[in-house]
Amino acid sequence: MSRLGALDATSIQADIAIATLVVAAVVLVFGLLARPGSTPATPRGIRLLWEMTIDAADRAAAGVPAGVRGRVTGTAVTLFWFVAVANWLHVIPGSSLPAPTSDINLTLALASTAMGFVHLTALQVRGVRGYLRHYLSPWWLVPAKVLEEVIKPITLALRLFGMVFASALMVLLIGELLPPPMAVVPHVLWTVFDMFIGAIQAFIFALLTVLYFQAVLPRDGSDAVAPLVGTAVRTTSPMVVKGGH
Amino acid sequence: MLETRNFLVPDATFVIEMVAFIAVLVVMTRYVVPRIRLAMHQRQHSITAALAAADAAERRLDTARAEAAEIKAEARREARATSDQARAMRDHLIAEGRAVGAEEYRWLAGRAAREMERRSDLSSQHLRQRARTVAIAAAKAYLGDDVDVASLAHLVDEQLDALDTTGRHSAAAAVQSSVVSPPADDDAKLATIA
Repeated sequence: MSRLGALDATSIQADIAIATLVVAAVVLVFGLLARPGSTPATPRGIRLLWEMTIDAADRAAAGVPAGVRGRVTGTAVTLFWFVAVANWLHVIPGSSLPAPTSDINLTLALASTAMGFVHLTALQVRGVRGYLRHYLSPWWLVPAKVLEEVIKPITLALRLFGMVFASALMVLLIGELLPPPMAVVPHVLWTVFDMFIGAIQAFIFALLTVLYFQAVLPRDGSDAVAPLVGTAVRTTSPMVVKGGH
Repeated sequence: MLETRNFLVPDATFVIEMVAFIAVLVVMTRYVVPRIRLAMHQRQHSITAALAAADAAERRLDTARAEAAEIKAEARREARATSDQARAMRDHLIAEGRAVGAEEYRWLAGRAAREMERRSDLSSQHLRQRARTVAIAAAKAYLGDDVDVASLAHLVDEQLDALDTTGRHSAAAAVQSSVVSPPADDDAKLATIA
């Protein structure tokens, strides 16, 4: 059923799908383990990692309205951990699963979902008129703005896909070009570098999503909207205040 | 796989992955991230409150230290004043005791002098009487009853008066000097008593 250059809506890559589900399960389990009810009051371990990520995302999202800041933070944190775990999945010892981000499907799915969420939030905050006004003024820039909005998820997806795909190719090349005893050291070095690149790519993906949120949302912090997918925390975090909002 | 499909074209895996990610996103943004943010927010508040309480306690401590220093200085001033007062009272009491002692000494010395004079007079009269009696008896023993008792008695009295005058002068001079300036060791005794 595979066809070059055409969308194949019927074939499923089982290994990539399974890897994605494993990533989802890992992120869910670690996220649920990090909840306040499951961990002691003093943050350490997994909880500390989550709090560091949330704090960083809160700082990055300081410019968005306070009413949707929790949503933006939640999206950024989820994206970061999902992408990071997906990038690291193939370097786990004993794991035969590929990095699902080395496939265009996942990166495109992540980018599409993130950008869809960005526009949904913008619609909710600005209203339909405000949302359209944001894109229609000045009128002569409308094509460029539409093109930009189309390109954003594609670049987001291709950047991540390209990096992880290239990394996977590097692993294959090291294995193919060097004899097994000589390939060990380069392979280990590349794996460490790959983990670093994986974390950086996850950070970039989450940060760009926050920036896209900031680009479409008003800078005024007075806009308070109902949470779309549950943002219980509406109050302005003191850490965000400290960050200069 | 690279030979059979274009790796830049998504397939149905895209849908599965999107659904999986949306599910994770919903769970995370509804059940995980808000709770952790809330816990962070509460902890931040409690830390802020604890810091404010620590600042307030520090300010109270500084105030208490200043008050303690002020109280200490005031106590020192009071103690110094009390000490000065006690010293002045001591000096006053010493001077007063010394004056009273000197006055009493003078009174006692005067009384002693008068007593000595009275006893001296009594002794003198007694001695005069005895000397007169002895002289008359001796004269009668040697001269018989023809002795002029009156003349003899007068003669004896004159001699005794001469002796008495000399003795009285020296005694009076001694008493006078002791009354006017009491002995130095008496001053020391008075000071010790004070």
